[in-house]
Order: sequence, then structure tokens, then C-alpha cells
Amino acid sequence: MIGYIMRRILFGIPAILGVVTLVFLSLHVAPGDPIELLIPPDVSSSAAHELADQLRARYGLDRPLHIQYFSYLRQVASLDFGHSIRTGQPVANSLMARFPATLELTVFSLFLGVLMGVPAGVLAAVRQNTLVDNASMSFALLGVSLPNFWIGLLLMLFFSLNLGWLPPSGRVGGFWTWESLRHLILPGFTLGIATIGILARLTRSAVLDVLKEDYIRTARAKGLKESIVIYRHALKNALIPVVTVLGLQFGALLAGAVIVETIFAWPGIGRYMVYGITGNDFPVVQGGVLFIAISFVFVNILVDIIYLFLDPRISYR
Amino acid sequence: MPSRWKLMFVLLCVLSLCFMITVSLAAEGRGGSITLAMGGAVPPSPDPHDSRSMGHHTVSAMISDPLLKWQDDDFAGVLAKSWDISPCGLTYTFYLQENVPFHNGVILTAEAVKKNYERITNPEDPLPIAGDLADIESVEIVDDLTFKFHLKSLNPDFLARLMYFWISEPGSWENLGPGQYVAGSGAFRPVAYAEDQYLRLEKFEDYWAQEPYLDEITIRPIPEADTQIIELETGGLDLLLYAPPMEANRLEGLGFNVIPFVRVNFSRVVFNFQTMEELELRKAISYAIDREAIRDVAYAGLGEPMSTLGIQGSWLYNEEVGGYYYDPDKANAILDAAGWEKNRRGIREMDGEPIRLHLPTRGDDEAWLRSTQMIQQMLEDVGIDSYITTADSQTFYTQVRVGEYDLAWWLSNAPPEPPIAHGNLRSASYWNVTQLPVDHPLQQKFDELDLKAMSTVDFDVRAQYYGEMQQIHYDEAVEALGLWIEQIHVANSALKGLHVPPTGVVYDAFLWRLDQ
Repeated sequence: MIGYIMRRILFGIPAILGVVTLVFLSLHVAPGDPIELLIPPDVSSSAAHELADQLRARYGLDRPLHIQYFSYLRQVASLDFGHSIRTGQPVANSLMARFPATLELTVFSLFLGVLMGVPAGVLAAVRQNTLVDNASMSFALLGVSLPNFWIGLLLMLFFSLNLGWLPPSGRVGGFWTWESLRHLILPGFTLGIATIGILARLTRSAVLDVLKEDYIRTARAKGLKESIVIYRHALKNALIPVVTVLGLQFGALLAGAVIVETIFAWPGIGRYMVYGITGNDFPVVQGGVLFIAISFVFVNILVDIIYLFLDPRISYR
Repeated sequence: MPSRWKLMFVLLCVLSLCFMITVSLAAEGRGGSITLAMGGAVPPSPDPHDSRSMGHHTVSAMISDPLLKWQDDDFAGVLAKSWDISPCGLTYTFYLQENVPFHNGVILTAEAVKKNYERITNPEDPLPIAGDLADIESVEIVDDLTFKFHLKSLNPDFLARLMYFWISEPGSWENLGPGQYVAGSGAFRPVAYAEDQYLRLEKFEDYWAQEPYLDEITIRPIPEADTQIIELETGGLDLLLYAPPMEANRLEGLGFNVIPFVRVNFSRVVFNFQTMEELELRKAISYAIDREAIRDVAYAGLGEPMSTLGIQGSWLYNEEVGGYYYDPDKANAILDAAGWEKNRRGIREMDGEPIRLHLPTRGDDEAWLRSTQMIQQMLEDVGIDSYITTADSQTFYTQVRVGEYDLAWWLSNAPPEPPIAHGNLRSASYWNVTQLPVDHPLQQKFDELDLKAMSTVDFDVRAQYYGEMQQIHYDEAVEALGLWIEQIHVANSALKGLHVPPTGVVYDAFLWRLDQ
């Protein structure tokens, strides 16, 4: 079992290396000069050129690309993601400072996904081809299809502007106080609505498959109550693919947070990356993408390990 | 009188006194707190030296003070009580206000100003406003409240560089612990800060100018324009700096106080002289652009058409220079006369080669994109074919700066000083996007005139040289001038005392008060 886990961890390393290389290259090859951001637009004299050269040298942007790349790899290996070009702050510190906000949002969205998506899927499967099934699946389809920046604004207009129930933006520190929860609901639901849809559809089809199995027929033949058949026998087995998708969804939620955090002024990694992207702040974007990639790989390793316990048929070899 | 009644009487008096004090404070508009927000790529910082945009400068102006500011079309002293300029124009002597306390109780001195200069221009770690102070060669301290800036070379517009030179107490930035902030001399001092979330400022009771009215100001960075507007409408915000102009009329209709200010940004169509060398083509395009339509559609009517590079009424305005106005017939006539004939598709061509111009734009700025689309249509109306490419702001700026364009809608910052021509037409200027080679006669002429204008402190003589530049700019149709674009701040109607100068940077937050 330990060998299996180690193998999973080792497989993650080339994935992270690939991400580092891709992100580094794509950002450096893209047009746009980050140093321009630091030059005041109305600066008077050739001092602007002088200042630009100084700044380029300071951030190592005057060195050949491959030297910059190997230097960056060395830094990453020591968990140093460099300093933000704009603010001068260490990127690793800024990412760690923002990670709790993103984690809070992502976990809440995932929680909503499980809380609403799984029961909706079970209900749809049990009541197959009824109004409940059609309604659940229509909602799931909408959740998957609608862009979250649009849903976010609509929710904000309805619940904040029209009803005045929830604050439109911002985050209140301190986990799980009523005020922090009020601030979390709109961005959390906006980010999680696609997950709700995906989990509902997946759970429905998995439960439908399981319900056709012999052991379910046996359970029913033994005279077990339908609820016990569904929740103890069918759902437990149907959840195996759902757990796999949860791991993948975690990555999708981290990526989706980039947009949702911007709309709701949520101070997480996604918004920090948007600052980096709009400002050609290479270290911020590189650090942010890498951080998300590492989190994604880590969560998927975790899912693989959980899988071992859920499905003993998986071989350790 | 029984002692019980005496006690009641005293209590009644005390309560009455408290009531009267409260009423009088309320009548003065004292007390209360507000929340303001701004967009932008980087949230504001509690360190005024970290100021990177006009929005940040407004926040810095609450925490700190500059030496001087722009007010009523002239410079007015803030921390500088007065100043002298030497006859050669290379030495500026400043006399500081007396007994100005910083937030940590230390009193302002000339030594502090020198240390601020050294911190900002530290070559190892230049801060964002270092470029503004690049002309200074040295700082000489004369006495506790007097110092001199010695310049490297003559810069008659040097004072304009000092408007955002925020002074803070040097000792306060040296050993900053958690929860501690740089001490400025402003009306409000930082008390809480969470990056990307909020910056909370509290009234500085000992502010040297006068006691501020408000108790507390919270600044929130909100990047998304729609979210800003919803926050404003739901009462989450009292003031929105640099609000989206398209919302101006609607918000005014809802009872908000919309405060426009002009001449921070000016726009024009810039031409790439490497690909647009034909004068007649540039002139025709200058006549083909309907500036008022662009203003009304893309900028919600907020702006004024621009005819010359000089701000109307300013010392360098040359009223003899003509302007290009919307006249498609004239544009067609110029193109016809120059031999650009329309083909069957209605596109003009020369020697069988149809004209097709590259018109890049910003995809992340709705007004910018819409203006470009309108220009494309206006060009098509006179038979000029063009294609638009979109990019994010920084990519677009680089594209234009390195000459990957034929023509482009372009906005520049235009503080009241220095002259626009100095900032955009010199070959040495970082923001000269004409792509004219340094040895091109036109560029040489601009450089020569600018050098002459910058080599004297006599504003009449300078006006003459810049006037000549305006004339050449018009004759050669160097750019198709567009609009002085108005921007807006939007405030809750209860917020009073908001005076917004043309730059948009609000210096006097100590005068803001809430109607109670």
C-alpha cells in the first residue's frame, strides 16, 4: 500500500514540472512588458528609459530566457516563487496569506455540491422519468451550462439589490460566524452550481446502474426497506465514481475561483492571479498556477488513497 | 431641597449638556464613518510611497500630505508654506509649515523630506513615484524647515512632479511590526489593513490643518465594475472613485451625487508614421472622426472634443491653430484629390492596392473598444477598410509602443502640467508612439522646439515654442485629436464637502462630512 502511495506521489512530480515549464514559457513568450507598468505614464524625461533598465535588471528580465527558466526552477525547488513585480512582496507569502480565503470558498462550494448534488441525483434515479427527475436534471443541466460570472451577477442583483438579504461582495474574516457565512453564500453557490449539476447527473446515472445489480435485487428480496436498500447498499457503491469526480472538481473549483473571486471581491488566490495576469506580473501568475497545480495533484493523490478504502478491488501493485 | 431632588437636578443638567454637545456635533456634521471603493489592478496600500494610480493618490492624500497640490488652475502649498525658484531655474527652495505632527507625534522637518526622497529614489529598490523625482540631483537642508532641491537640468514643470510626493515620518517605516503602519501627516491614520480586503483609517485628532469631520474611512478594493455599482446601490459604499462612466446618468437619476472632472485623460487616434506616411490620408482620417458621437455613445456624453494639444485657457494654448472637426465630405474630397479611388466594394485603393489598416484596441475596456468600433465604422464611411484586433491593456500598450499598428485610439494621462507635447512628441519620451525615427525632420523639429521650451523658465517664451509645436502637429496631422475625457466619482447624497479638482485626486478628505 505504501508503495502504491509513493508511486502516486512520484507520478505527480512530472506533472508539476510540466506545468512549471508551460506556464513559464507561455507567460514569457506572450507580448506585453511588465516593466511598463512601473513607469509613470507622465514621467518627464529619458529617466523613464533609465528606470526601465534598472527595473529589468532588478527582476532578472534582462537575462536570456533559459537562464531565467533554470533560475526559476531552482527557486521553485526551494519553495521560493520570487517577488511580485508590482508590490515587491514574496509571492509565496502572498499566496499563503490568500489560501485560507480560497480554501474556504472552494470547500464551501464542494460542500454545497455534495449536499445538493448527491441527494438530487439519488432522488432523480429513484424517481426516474418523473417530474422530480426532469426538474432535477434540468437544474443540473443549467448549472453545468451557465457561465458563473453571469450567474454571480444575477444572484447579486436578486439577493443583494432586490431583496437585500445578502451582502454583494467582500469577505469577513473568522470562520463560520453568521456574518462570514452571509458573505460566503453568494460566491459559494456561484462557484458550486456547476459542481451541483455535475454531481447530480453523475450520481443519478451511478445509482441507476447500481439499482440494476443482483445484490440490490437480493436485498429487496430479503424484504429490506427501500430506504435501506437505497442508502446503505446502492448509494455506498454508487459513490465510488463520485469521489473520483470530487477530486477533479476540486481542481475545477480552484480554477473557477479566478472569476468568482474577482466578481465578488473575494480576497483569494484567484483574485491575486487576476492582478498578476492583468499586470503581466510573471512571478504572481507563475506562483499562482503552480500553487493550484500542486494543490490539484495533492488532492488527486488523496482521492486515489481514499479510493483504496472505498473499493478493495483496486490492486496495490 | 431634598438630596434626592438635588441629585436628579444634577443628572438632568449633565444629560442636557450631553444632548446639546451631540446636537451641536451633529449640526456640524462631525462623526460618522464612510466606505469608499475603487477599481484598478492593485489595491491601495497603507504606505503612501506605494501609490500607483490616481485612486491610490486619493488614499495617500488621506494618510499623508504632499509639498504642494494643484488647485484653482495653479499650484498651492500643502506642507510647503511657500517656495522660491532660483533665476537659473535649477534650484527650488521650500519653506515648510511649522509644527506639523506626524501620526506618531514626531514633527515635520526638512531632514524628513530628504529621507523621503532618498527612500523613494533608492536605486536598489526604486518606489513607484521614483520617476517623478528623477530630475533631482541633490537635496540640501538649510535649516529645520527649509531645504533646497538642486536639479540635474532645467525642468520648468518640476513643481508638477511634486504633487504626489507624499511625506511620511522616516522613523516609522524603519521598524514596522505587525499592525504598525507608516506615519504620515494626513487627516486620517491607518488602523487596520488586510491586503485585498480593506484599509481602515481613523481620524487623526491632531491634524495640523483642522480637525477632520469623519471618524473613520474604510477603503475597499472592488475590481469588478458591476459589483461596485451594486455595492453603491445597496448602501455598502458611500463613495465610488472613478466609477464606470456609462452608469453616470442612471446613478444621478437614483439620487446619487455624480461628480465629473475633466482633463485627467485625453484621447486621440495615434498614427504609425512607418505605415501611415501619407499626409493626406492622416488628414482625411482626422476629418472622418465624429468625436461628439464617440463621446456620447462610448463615454456617456462625458467629455469635450479636443482641437489642439494645449488645454484651452492654459498658458500654452495657441488659439490660432485650427482644429480638425467631423466633416466626412471633406475627408472624401481629400482622398479623391490624393488619388485614392473607390473600388466596386466601396473601398479606396491606390494603384489597384486596396487600403486596409490595422486598428488594435483594448478588449478589457468597454469604452475603448466601443470607440475603436465606431472609428472603424467612420473610416468605412469614407471608404477606408480596417480590421480590429483586441488585447489586454498591457499587450495593447506594448503593441502600439513597438509599432505593431497603423492607427489606434489612445488615451493618455494629462495632468495640468507639464505640456502634453513634452510628454508625447519628444523622441526621448517613453510614450512617444509615432514611430518617427529620431533623424526624421519632423521629429527633429519637435525635439528642437521642446528643448528650447524646456530651456527657459519664461512661460511666455515657452508658450511660443509649444504654440509652434501645436501648429506643426495640426499641419502634419500627427495625431487625430479626440476628447478630453471626463471621469466621475459617485457619492451617496449624504456625503458632503467633496471637492474634486481636475486631476480627480481628492486632497481634502478632512472636509468630508455626513448629513445627519
